[in-house]
Amino acid sequence: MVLSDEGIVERVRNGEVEAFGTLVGRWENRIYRLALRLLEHPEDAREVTQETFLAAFRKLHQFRGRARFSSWLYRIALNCCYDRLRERRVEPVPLEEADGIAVEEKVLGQIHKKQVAERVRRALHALPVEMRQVIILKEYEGLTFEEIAEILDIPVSTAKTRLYAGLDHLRKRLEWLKDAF
Amino acid sequence: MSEEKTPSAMCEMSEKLIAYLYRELSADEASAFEAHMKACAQCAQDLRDFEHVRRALAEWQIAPMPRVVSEFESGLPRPSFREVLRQLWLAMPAWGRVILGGATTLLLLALFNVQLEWTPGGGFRFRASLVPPRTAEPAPSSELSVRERQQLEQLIADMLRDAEQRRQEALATSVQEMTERLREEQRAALADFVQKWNAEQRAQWAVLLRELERRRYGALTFADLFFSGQDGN
Repeated sequence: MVLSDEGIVERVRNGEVEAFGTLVGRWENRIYRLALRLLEHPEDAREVTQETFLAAFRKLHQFRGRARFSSWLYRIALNCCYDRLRERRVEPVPLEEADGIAVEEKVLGQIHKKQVAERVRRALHALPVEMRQVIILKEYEGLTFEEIAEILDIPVSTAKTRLYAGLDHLRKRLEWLKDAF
Repeated sequence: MSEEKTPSAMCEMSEKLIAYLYRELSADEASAFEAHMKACAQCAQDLRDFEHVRRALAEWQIAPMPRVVSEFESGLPRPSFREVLRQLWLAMPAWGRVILGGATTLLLLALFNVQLEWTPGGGFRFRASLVPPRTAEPAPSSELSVRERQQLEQLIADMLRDAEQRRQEALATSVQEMTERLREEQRAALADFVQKWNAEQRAQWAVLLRELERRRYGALTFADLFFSGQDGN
């Protein structure tokens, strides 16, 4: 029988510290992917992933169980990402640069998957962070709108509105890819 | 595709559209929204465009995180040595990989005894062998300490002294042998001379005695005896 995250948390709080390793193994890839998509630097993402689990371990006594452990962990991870972004003072990519599509690539139809992924990454990076985080949590982490609202501490309707606005931005920036699929 | 919309330009069903796009509407809600789309070209267009955007977003995939051994993972199965090396390599910064690569290259060059020589006439010459090349005896260092120099000087002085002593001893032996030989020769010559002289003296005395005998018994005078032979007549 697979123990739930909340059940493992309870065991850790009861002194079975090594059980926290199970939570790390269960969630580290998701946290890493989230951090990498937000920070776009593998080393930063790795460090943020570690910071997230260390912070979670230290604050475990504060976890009341009102929210899901995953939501609570995502919130810690996002805060760590924001701290890192503030430290780096990342400038958003200008729209022109994000849209800087090589016309030849489009015309010649020689668009490879890797190039598409790079364009998507740059288009996402150009979005305001509140739109970007909702898109990442929804599209790549597969969370429900309720979970996203819980993590970001916003109403569900706001989460949907931000997602709509983000997709609206992206469809213009990725319009040239329309014929590629 | 449509232009970016302001909140006022958005369809009031935009939230439903987003929920429909991600399959988060109930069956009844989904049916109701599909009915709405038949009358709302904007929502229909948005749905097509957003599905296209989602397909594009799906292209950006990320590999799983290189696992970092943490204090919490002590209870998990231990990774293999090869896996640990792989993770270390992935976790290593670029400069670390450059240094490690350089060190590995130098180690391989050393293992295969690679030599790169340059001569003014022949240019560069590359050699590699599993057998180490023969090397000349290392030249003694020209830098001697004071202690070493003193020891060396003492050794040379001892050697010179011994050689001089042996030479003197040989010379003395040679002189002694020569002296002995000369002495023997002189002794032999003297003995021969004495023997000859004695024989001559004996002969002269014999002649003299015979003459005295003759004169004693003949009419010879003393003058005849001593001066008869001096005038040569």
